[in-house]
Amino acid sequence: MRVVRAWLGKGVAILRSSLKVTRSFINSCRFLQNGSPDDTQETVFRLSELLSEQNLVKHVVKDYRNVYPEIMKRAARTFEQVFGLKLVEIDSKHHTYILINNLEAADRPPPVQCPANPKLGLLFVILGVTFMKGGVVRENVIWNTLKKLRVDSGEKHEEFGDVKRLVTEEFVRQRYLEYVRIPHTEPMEHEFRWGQRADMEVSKAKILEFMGQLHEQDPQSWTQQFREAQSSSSSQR
Amino acid sequence: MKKSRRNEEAPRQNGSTGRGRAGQRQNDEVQAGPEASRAGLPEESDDNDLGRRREIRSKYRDLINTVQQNREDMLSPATDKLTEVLEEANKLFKDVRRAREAALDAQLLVVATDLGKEKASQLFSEGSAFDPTAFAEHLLSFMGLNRLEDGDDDPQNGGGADGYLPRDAWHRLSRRAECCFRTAPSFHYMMGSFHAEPPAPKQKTERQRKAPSKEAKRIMPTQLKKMEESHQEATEKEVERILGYLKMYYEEDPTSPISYYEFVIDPNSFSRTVENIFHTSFLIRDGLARMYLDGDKLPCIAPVEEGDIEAASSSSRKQCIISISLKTWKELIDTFEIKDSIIQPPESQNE
Repeated sequence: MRVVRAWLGKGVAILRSSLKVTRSFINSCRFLQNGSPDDTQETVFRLSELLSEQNLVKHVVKDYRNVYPEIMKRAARTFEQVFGLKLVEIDSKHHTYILINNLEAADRPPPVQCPANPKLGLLFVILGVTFMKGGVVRENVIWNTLKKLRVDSGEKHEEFGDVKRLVTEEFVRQRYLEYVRIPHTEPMEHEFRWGQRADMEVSKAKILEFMGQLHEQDPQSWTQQFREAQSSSSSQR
Repeated sequence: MKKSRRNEEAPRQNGSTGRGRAGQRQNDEVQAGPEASRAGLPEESDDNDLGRRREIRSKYRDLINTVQQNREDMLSPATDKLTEVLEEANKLFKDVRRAREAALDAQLLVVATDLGKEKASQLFSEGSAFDPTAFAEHLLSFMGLNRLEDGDDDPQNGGGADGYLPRDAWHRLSRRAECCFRTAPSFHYMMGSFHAEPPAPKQKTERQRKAPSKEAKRIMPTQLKKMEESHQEATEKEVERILGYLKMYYEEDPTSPISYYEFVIDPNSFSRTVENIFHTSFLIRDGLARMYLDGDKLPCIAPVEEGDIEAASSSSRKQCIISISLKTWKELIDTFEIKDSIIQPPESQNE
């Protein structure tokens, strides 16, 4: 009887702590997403951060670290059932997570329009070109394309600042892109690939659809890319 | 001799037989070396030899440069430039005797085969080709590029002579691209946030005191909505009337800034002053008037030109909270020496 009660007690404690953790988890998500406890217009322009186990344990879980996996499991379930967000482990070595939206995008515009993050447009261009070129592209192709869009990697851009750093460091750190050195190149060159996070978060089918609209072509006319988009969207579910 | 066999070799393809050739060459090189030393070349040919070798090395370096610099050109299926380069290298190799030149040849091969691989991958892609240049052009149109008619216009906003991008170009693209991303929504307050801290301390300047605290953000007090619904028409009329006063005052002397406090304060009635502040905030909200700080960091107000109203609606607006108390109101009247109100009280209203 006592044992049962002890277990119940522990269960309640876990539940309570998981609720507490979830709440503070959400708070810390917000903290990590916005970079500051309060909210100003500026912070909406940050891309959402990666959540690392280390940070979570240090700032949120603290004393409950021995039931950390249980807490994570419950938090993930809450996120999924209540908010429609999927908690995905993006790096199994360092235990980093991201939150992605599990819900289908509504056809009508959202009720609360937050200002669009211009960095998203830049990321879209890079991911789009990389995808259409078969998934790997030499960095020069990207820099040249961006230059045509008045974004020069060598100069400071009005909207993006240090573009080279944004693309090769920030986007890579966020796991949206991979920036890999090509061997035997002199001077040293790199190629871009899709990062793990892009694989999970970005819909190739939707990119192809947009491409179709821009070029006034049927998306299916790009047969290889279309096939790739079909197979990747089935794996994303 | 092995060399003659090499000449009868099949014509080179884009790097597909690379490894085989390199292997064969190594054998040639090894053969040539001892032979040359055994022959005991006379001194004259030694000098010629050095010169010739230098020439060969230089030509190899040129070829390598050509491949590296003209990548785009060589990749195009329309040209046979890559084959030409390889044929050139073949000719050069005939005279190669030493390891140093052979190493350069190997380097050229590596660069060329890499290019060859790229070219081959182009061959295998079915369906439509994707051209990043065309893509960029379409994007520019989508983002609302204004192509200038005459080339004489000054380029603005970092555009070249062929048009400039509007300020919200990247926002437009991002808005459209958003649907491709399954990002979790970030948290932000719906109605803007209140700073819970006490208002910033009043700054005392030499001449005047800045009386009420002005927060960096402005929001409409939530009370407003209720008033709006019940007294909508009356409020609208008032706001329009006040806009009329503002414009009239501004027209009298467009160059001199209108002090905000002078504008809203009615030295005869505190409640009227508060109402003026309230109605003026509507003008600001709708972008019909704008507030700014002048050289002394005092707030000023000015009407927005007709043409600018459209542009202003897309740029971000700042919010701020203004508070005023009876005491502050009196201080303002004394400080600014306000004798009468700019905004005349409406005749019909009951005080």
